[in-house]
Amino acid sequence: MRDLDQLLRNTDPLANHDESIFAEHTRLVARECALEPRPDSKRPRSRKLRAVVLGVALAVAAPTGAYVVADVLTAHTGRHARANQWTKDHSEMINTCAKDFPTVIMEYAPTDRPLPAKVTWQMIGDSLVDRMTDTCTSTEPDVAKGEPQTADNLRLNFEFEADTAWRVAWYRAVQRHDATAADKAITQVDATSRRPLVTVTQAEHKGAGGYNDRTVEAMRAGRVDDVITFGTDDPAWYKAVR
Amino acid sequence: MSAGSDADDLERLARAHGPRVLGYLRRRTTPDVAADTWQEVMTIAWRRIGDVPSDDDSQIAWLVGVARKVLANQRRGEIRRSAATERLREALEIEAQRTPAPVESPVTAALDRLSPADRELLTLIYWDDLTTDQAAVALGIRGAACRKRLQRARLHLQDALEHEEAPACHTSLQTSHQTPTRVSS
Repeated sequence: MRDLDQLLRNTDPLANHDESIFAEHTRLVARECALEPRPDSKRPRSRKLRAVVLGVALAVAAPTGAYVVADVLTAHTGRHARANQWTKDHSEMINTCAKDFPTVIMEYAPTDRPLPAKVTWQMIGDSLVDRMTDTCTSTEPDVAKGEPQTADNLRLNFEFEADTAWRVAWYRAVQRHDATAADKAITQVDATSRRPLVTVTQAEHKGAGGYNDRTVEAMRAGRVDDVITFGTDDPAWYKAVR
Repeated sequence: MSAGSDADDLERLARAHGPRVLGYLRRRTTPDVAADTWQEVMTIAWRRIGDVPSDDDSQIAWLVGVARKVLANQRRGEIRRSAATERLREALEIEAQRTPAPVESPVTAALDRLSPADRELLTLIYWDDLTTDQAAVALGIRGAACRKRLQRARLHLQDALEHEEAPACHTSLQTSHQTPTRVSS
């Protein structure tokens, strides 16, 4: 078993590399990040204190209008990235920790796109909600604790989950030697690269190649192992749909 | 984290663990995504500075866990860019050009044959040098479950090695991610 340990260590692509050469770079990135404004509640508050703060916030917000309350408690924040803050994506920031997030996320499902049999947009939405809310407290929606996602990112995540579902469909079709179903799935995986939002993302990653070029090529060549390597990066989802 | 200004705490965190977390990212993605992801990790650490554990061992596990999630969700061009990140990206790309491509071997081929979960755990332990407890934190599972999974993953790897007949027919781990990156959270 000790040999196995050593063999594994030998496969490390960065074995014998001195990562400390990046120490100064990583520190400078941290320093720039620390210049960014952040939510006030940077230190964890006690449950009692959080209740008081929420109570005060509600008391202040009530007479001054619904906007502040909505800002804290609902997924639609009405906020957008500042012009100099993000490269391209200025779509609305969505509070994933708001109670209504599971409902709101479904607004971004690209329902014009077909899905494999037995897969629904609701299933995909539920899977995304699970993934995106694991840092939220379950009973206290707190925008400071949330991981805000932009609306475009939610749309993209739906696209990629649909893509994953078609990869699973392809895999299952190959397993049962159903060439027609496999071809249909390949067509849909290939289509991911041409979805409008994916095209925009690709344009921002110049030189990266088409999103699914290598996967589709491997699918058409029937290289199942390669496709599994490219595609099974979300084991929970694969397990769920199998 | 300890007393002192939050900005100082963040810099201390980056100084102590930045290169190691960057190594984690470099092993799994391209230089440009690694640079952007590091910045996103620092942004999250800045927002949640109060949640960062106080001891070194837990900090690295926490940071790798955050990096893992950021990588999972970084499927778009919604990446904040700063001057420091640009410089980091340039440095990473220069280093990547100097780094020889990973050598294909029966072990890398066997690793590629494992499930993503097995592969992820093994590489966290043997490449990133995390302890099982740290890997458990990074993966968001219990220590006992992590040890059990590690035992199982090693057995799977041994099986895969024994059945590995045609080395160099698989894509290496280094190329297993595309852009945008697709990794489970």
